[in-house]
Amino acid sequence: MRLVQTALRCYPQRWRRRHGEEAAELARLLMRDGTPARSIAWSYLKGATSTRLVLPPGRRLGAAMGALVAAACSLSVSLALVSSSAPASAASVVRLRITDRAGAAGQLRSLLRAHHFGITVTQEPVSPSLVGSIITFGARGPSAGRGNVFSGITGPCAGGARGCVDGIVLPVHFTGAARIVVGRAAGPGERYAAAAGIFRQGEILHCTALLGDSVRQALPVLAALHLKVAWDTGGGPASREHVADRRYYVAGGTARSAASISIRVTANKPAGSTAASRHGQNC
Amino acid sequence: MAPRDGERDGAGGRDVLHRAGDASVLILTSLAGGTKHGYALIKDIRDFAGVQLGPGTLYGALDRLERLGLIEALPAEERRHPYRITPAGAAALRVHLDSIERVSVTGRLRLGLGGI
Repeated sequence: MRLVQTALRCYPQRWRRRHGEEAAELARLLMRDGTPARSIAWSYLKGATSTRLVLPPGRRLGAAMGALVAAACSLSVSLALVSSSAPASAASVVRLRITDRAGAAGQLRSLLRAHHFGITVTQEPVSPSLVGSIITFGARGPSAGRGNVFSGITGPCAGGARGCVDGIVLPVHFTGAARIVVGRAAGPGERYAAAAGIFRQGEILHCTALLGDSVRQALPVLAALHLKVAWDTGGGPASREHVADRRYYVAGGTARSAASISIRVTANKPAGSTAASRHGQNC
Repeated sequence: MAPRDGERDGAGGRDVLHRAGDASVLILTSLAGGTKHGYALIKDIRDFAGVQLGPGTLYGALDRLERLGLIEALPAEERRHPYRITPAGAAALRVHLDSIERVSVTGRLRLGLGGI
């Protein structure tokens, strides 16, 4: 904590009056979670340097003094960091990957058990291309320290699109509480907890050729699909009549459920939304 | 603080966050889900983005967002100041997310990845 206090003293007095106590409290909480004091001190030192070098126009002397104070602080904190005897922790991780999309949650639970991790795996309804992918993950409570940061492994999505998370990397010695949420197929009318773009491979409007079409052209297709549509003009939801009259173009969207979607429209035809680009979507 | 050249105004459909940095966008995204203090912000951002914000970075971004009127500090609870996104902040975040979505769409289409 002494390191952190040294770094906090590098901030201008007005900053310390405003944030000082809270910043020290935050440092204590982060250290309790496992974040090394040196990392916190270094972050505050960088923040203090930035704060001192950002001054109102015309304060040249102040800026010069700020730079000097920041330099002096850097030296004192650096010396303290060098003298710190805390050992560096070795980065040793486990990589777990989903290969069975239909049984993703079960497979992940088995893998976690095999490594003796007491991590909860739950499932949420998602749009089709996210089924079997990891939606969210992370350590919880006091376990969520810097040494316990999880990261995702990116792989293919259901239906062939790219960019889904199908694996996870976590510290081999992780022993705390954590949760991983895996996407499952939604039931009829069930609202999605997460959804990919509606034109993505595997999603409801993939290869419908509506992307870049005018709303007038899109309306009959959407009606035939029996989809409930909310129009989004960027300034908020708009009525179907308003959007159609203005000759907006379809620019993207997300599904709320299998029967309900939100379509984003723009006044100008989106660039790249040609038949050739649709051909690149493996249609 | 007046927007610099090239910056955009959220309320007017321009992207104020164009040069604000990733930390500002992450903080606004977190606050869009409800009022939070510093520690809760760091935990939430780590959970939804997998990004570990340093406390110095956090306070720098909070000060900047407050100066821009995109967030506001609420009265302290014990030693913690909760922050809340303002209507201007919500508008700016929306404009910025639309902007990066357009880039994402264009990039994916040009790479032939076939999805948005």
